[in-house]
Amino acid sequence: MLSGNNYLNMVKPCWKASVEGDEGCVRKPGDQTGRTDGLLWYKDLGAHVSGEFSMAVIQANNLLEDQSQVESGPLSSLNSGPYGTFIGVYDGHGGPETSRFVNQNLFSNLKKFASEDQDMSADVIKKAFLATEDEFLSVVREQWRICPQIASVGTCCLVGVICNGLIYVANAGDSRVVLGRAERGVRGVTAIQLSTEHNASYASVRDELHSLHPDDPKIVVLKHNVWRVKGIIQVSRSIGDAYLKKAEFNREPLLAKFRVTGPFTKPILNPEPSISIHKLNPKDQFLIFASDGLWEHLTNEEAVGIVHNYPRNGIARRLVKTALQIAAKKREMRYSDLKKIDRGVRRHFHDDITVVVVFLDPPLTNRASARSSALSIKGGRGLPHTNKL
Amino acid sequence: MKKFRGFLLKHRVISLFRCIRRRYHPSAGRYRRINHSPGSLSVLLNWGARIKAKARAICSKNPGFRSGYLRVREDPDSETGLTPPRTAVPKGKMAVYVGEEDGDYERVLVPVIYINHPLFGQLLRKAEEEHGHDHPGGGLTIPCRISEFENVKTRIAAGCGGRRKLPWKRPV
Repeated sequence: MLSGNNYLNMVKPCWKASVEGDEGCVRKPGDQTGRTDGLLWYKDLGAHVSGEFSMAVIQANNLLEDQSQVESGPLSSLNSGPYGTFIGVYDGHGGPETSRFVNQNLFSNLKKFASEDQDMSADVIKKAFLATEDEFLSVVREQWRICPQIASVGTCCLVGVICNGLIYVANAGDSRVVLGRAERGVRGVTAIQLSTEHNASYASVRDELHSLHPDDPKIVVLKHNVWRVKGIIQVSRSIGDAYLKKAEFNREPLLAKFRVTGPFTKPILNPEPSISIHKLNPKDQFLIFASDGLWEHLTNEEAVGIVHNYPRNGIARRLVKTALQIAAKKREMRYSDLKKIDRGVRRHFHDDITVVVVFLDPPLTNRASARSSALSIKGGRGLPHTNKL
Repeated sequence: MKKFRGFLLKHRVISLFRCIRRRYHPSAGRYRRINHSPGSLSVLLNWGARIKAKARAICSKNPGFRSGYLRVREDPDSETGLTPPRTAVPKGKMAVYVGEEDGDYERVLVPVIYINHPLFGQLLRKAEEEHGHDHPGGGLTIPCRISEFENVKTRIAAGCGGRRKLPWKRPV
């Protein structure tokens, strides 16, 4: 057996290599970077501490607004601290800045609070969300004079932490995580949605908004058949969107089209995540984390069915491809022709899509791989124009 | 059945214009001078084509003569808002729905590569302002007059005619 320190020395180079890895180049198998193919980024198969995972990202916006990460190994800066896998999916809106910021800072904040508590808990995750929000708002305050548009950028934030036989799911926004569970007596795998979404299309979200803002009857408005908070945004929780959090950013020099009419005293959007904790069951096979770009084309059952019925290698890429085939069909064109559409224009056909499939393998069979599977990988590296910030 | 009648009428209107064109410019249809410069001939042909296009536009503006394009009828029952494709879309093309009023759109087939063109981008921005990214019938819906749309299509076609490499195609 390796001692803690030896182990850390052994895995350290892996960490560094993945963080500073070259973009988009083809590397030897087992590495911690992905590959790119046009607007698609993928990592067909990798190992995390409790199994394998597969990742894929397709870019639709001119600048990729979806960001994602898988971190596996120590979940705190202490050797004795919690150990497990962290998955983050950040679906930005209005620009890529907030999702990139969260991708770079949320996990280190989580590690900081986990070190303080020497444990993983819902409270640690919540504190990490709120600290990341505060840090981003101070970035907005700093850049406000030079670049006021930063106040109109935000991101949805979905986090999963697999640690000590538990799955923590924290969500602010409308990304989703679905669990595939093999039930006895049922053929195939059943889909269990673990995340709570905050999209105004749900009556419960609209009710929550009305109860939080009893004096504002127009807190949610139906516009072009879509429910939007203040007629602007579909999600009721997010990180960023400073102009909807603090009135000090809801004024000039921010362009009028990004502003809310009328003053407000209470923040309109909330950065606090909905957190749920699930005990891992031996029947639990895999988790599918994805931004809403996937779920607008696939149901939970369809996605779980695909993951159950096809080989692990490249499964995230298969889910993305299936979603794109459906998107092409809706727009009455061939999938092969959809691939000819440039980024930016692509947004009229589908959204940025991020998929992370995490397999939950029984601990005994993967002990050997677990020892060598500390990793840090970020989705979408090497896609065109993603290196601005 | 109605559709079919419209189809026949369209051809009659177009052939009527073709007939008029021949009567006033007999050189276009009947005989050609040996030393006739190809420049003026192509001008004449273009003129003929323009009249034909105009006749088609007139036909499609008048509901009774609607023919070349199929009208979208939104299905209020369908929850997803997905309308099944009326006819198979050939490779390299896609269907877009053009029109100004809700539920009264023309289905037009467009080469997919046109979508990347900046002129088309302006139409898409207009669509985004109107519908966001959720198009009511599933297909790409563009809120503009059909004549305006045809105009954009012709301009894009003219811009890339004869050139192999499209100047507006962004390098990937």
